[in-house]
Amino acid sequence: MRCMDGKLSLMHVPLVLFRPAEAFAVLGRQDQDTRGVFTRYAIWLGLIPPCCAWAGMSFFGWRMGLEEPLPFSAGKSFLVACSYYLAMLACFVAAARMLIWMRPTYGSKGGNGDCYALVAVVGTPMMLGSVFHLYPSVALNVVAFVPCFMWSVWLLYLGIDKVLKTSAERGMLMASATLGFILIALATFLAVMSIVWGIGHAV
Amino acid sequence: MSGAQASIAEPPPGGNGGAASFDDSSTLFLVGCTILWALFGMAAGVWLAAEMVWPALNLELPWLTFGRLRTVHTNAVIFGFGGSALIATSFYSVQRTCHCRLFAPKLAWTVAVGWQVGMALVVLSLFAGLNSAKEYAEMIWPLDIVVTILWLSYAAVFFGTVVKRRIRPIYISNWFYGALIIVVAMLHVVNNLALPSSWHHAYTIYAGANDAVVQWWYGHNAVGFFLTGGFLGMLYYFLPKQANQPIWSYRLSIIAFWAFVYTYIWAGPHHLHYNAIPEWVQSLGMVMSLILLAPSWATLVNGVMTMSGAWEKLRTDPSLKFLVLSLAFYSLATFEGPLMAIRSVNIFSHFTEWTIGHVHSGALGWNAFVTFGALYYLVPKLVERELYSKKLANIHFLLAIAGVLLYMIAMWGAGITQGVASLSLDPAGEVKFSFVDIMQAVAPYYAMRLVGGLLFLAGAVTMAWNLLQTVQGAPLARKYPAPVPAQVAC
Repeated sequence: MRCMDGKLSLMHVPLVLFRPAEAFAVLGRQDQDTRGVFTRYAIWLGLIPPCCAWAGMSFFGWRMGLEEPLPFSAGKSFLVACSYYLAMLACFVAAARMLIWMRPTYGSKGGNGDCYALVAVVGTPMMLGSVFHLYPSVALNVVAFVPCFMWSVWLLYLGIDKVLKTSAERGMLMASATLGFILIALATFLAVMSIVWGIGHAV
Repeated sequence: MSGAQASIAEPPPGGNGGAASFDDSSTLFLVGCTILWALFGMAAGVWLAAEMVWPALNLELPWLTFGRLRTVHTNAVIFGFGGSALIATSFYSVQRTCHCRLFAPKLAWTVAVGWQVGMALVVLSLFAGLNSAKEYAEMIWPLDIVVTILWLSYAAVFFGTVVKRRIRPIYISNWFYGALIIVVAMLHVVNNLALPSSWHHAYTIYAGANDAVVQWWYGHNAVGFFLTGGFLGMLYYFLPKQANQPIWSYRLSIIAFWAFVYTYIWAGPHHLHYNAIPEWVQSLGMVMSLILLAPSWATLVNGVMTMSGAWEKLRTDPSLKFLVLSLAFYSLATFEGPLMAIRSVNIFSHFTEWTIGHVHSGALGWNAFVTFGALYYLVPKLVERELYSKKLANIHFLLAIAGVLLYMIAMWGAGITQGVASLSLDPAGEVKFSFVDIMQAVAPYYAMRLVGGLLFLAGAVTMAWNLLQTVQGAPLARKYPAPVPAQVAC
């Protein structure tokens, strides 16, 4: 691992999972480029949730814990999975843009690519945890999501100062602001989903 | 820096009006009570969460049934824990920001002790099943009167101190504490107007839907002025004090205060969407809730920017960590609340666990975190000892974050499931799922909530142990010999 290139790639996944401090040190030593983060990491890791969701929906059907599973045809599952993938990429970009916007406030010397790399790395546990979409029971997925989310939050606090090249103290504040943003985004999703569901219900 | 900003700076110790002359004995007593109420109230909450997983845990004892224990939990944490914390911190900060001793220290002690006795009686009466059936205003009418007298005494001590202040500006934290005292007095008295029929029962003077409107005018503004305004007063004192920075924009804090006071008071009807009250009242409540975002976030910006430049202190200061993270949860709670006040969201979220999750993201993530931050600041200062263990404080911090996140996400999952299920209709247009179906579906989330609550409680126990050891530790003077005059001169 020691000879590993500092440019973020899928090769870094084991390091991120098992030796995160070393992973952040490696990534922090080199400036990341935005395109590289996308092509070598994000778009591939980001395929896990929609692919697993597609397979789970097609073969097992959605389970709210209330009635028989709700089956989806392969075509409809594909449409949902594609929308899911695009929504995730949009969230990925939004989170990175938010970090870029906050960067001067917290004295970060990291570039745009570093912000994208940090979001990609921090999201890794959640991407891997999404294998539970293969069995799309909502309760099971929430149970799996919570520890993955906490793992991600821990990675955020651990790595933000190293990847974005700022002091540990400023990094702690920046991580808290980012966590606030993420929680607000989650609450917004819930609200939007409620409204959309309500519209569908009325129709 | 304006004069008002400068007023947070304490007068020199030992001087006329200096730190040595402050009266902090009642504050120290209240701080101890705050911790005890936190442990009791949170333990009651954890027991309730366990009852939702294993209903037999009520042990078939009437006072342990969910209906009674739930009110004990809410009253213990809001009025016992939150109330004691607010009174303690306001007594501490008003002296320092007004550069004078507390007005009527004996009355302050009466308030401090009386509040504990009053809250203990409230809890005992609720255990006994004596309940006025108004949410967050469950205490019976004799205790309503006791609380009113205590609150007015508190007002006399606080405003008496403000009146005899030795500097002209009134620091922003005192504006928020002042609003808390005035508005909560008004809410408590108006909502509890009733005609007694026995020593423990009274009929409210409001009939039907009017009672509901008054109740939620009270209920929402109790959240607004007690759990938001009062705790903002705490934040406005302890954050700049601990960061050793002036408020980023004092003008913004004043604008946000008046916008907050004016807007919050109208937002109550969002608790009564789709109920038997005029639709325009519901719409007004919704619109004012959305407008409320502006003053809430103005305060948020002020808090975050006040931290700019205080980077170095974060490395070693557990108090600041709690204060900083409390801002993140404040931003969530004050954003999620207006969202849930939108009628088309509310139809989905109301009567579901989403609301419980929202309340706890505010109560645990905002109120408890800012109080923990204040306690880690206050206790070492009040007893003139160093914090016993920063490591334990950091463990508390991690347990608290994990607990609140687990709780909140579990309740989001449960709320969505309940919302979808309770609005689903079968082809004949009938409700598709029974109450039992829905309860079975949300059972896993209840288990998750229990784990989250246990983590949070474990953190609070850790803090209590840490602060107890701090109080029992060696005084600073003994640990560090007094500097020789030459060193002082340096």
